[in-house]
Amino acid sequence: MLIKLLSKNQRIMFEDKPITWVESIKRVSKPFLDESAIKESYVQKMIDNVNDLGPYIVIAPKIALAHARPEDGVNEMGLSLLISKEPVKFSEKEEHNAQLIFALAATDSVSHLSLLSDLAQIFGEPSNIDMLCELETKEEVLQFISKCLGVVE
Amino acid sequence: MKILVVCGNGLGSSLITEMNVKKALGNLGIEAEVGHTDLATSKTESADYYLGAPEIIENLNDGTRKIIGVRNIFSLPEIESALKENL
Repeated sequence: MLIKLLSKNQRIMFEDKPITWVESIKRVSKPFLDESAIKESYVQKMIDNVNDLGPYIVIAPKIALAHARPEDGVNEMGLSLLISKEPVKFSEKEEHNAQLIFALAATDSVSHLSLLSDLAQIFGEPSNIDMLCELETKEEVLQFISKCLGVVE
Repeated sequence: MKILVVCGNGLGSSLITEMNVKKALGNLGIEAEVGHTDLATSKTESADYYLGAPEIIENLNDGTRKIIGVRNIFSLPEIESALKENL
C-alpha cells in the first residue's frame, strides 16, 4: 500500500534549500491539496498540533510524520514524502531535526494500518533512514522502498 | 498489566508504537495488554503504564502515573530497553 500511495502524482518531493518546519508541512501536503484529497483545514491542523503539543511528530531520528485526524478534513487516504537535503528544525534541539518529512491523511483509524506497518518495516532497520535521505529521484526512492519491503518489481 | 501508548492524535505514531511495543513484549516474554489513544483521552483512561514520545508523555506526568518515554518509535532495541528498565 505504501508503494501504491507514494507512486501517485507528485507524492515524492525533494528540497535542496533550507526551509522551516511550517514550510515543510505545507510543501509535503501540497499534492493532496492540489487533488482535493484534503482540505486546507487539515494542513492548518497539522501545523497547530506541533504548536500545541510540541515536536512529537519527529518520531525517529530524521523522520517526521505530520498528520491530523480524519475529521480535520480528509477526503481521500494518502501519504506523501518530502526529502530535504538540509535538516528541517522542529525545535532548537538537534534530536528534532528531520530530513524525511511524511504527511499522512487518514480517513479512519484502521485503513492505514498496513501503511504504518510498511513504514515500521523499512525504518526498523536504522541504516535505511540515512540511505533514503541520500536519494535524489522518485524512481530511486520507489525502488529503494520496494527493496526494503521485499517487493519484486 | 496494561500499557497505554499515547500520541497527539491517537492514529499515527501511537499505532506504529503499539505494534512495536507488542513485538518487544513478545521478545522479552512479557504478557501485557497494549492499547493506544490520543493525549486528551489518555488523561481519563487508566493503565499501569503510559508510553509515548517524551514531549507528549510528559503531559501525563502528574506524580501518580508511571510514564515511559520513547524517542525512536521504529527502534525495537530502544523500546525493549525502555520496557525492561521501567516495568
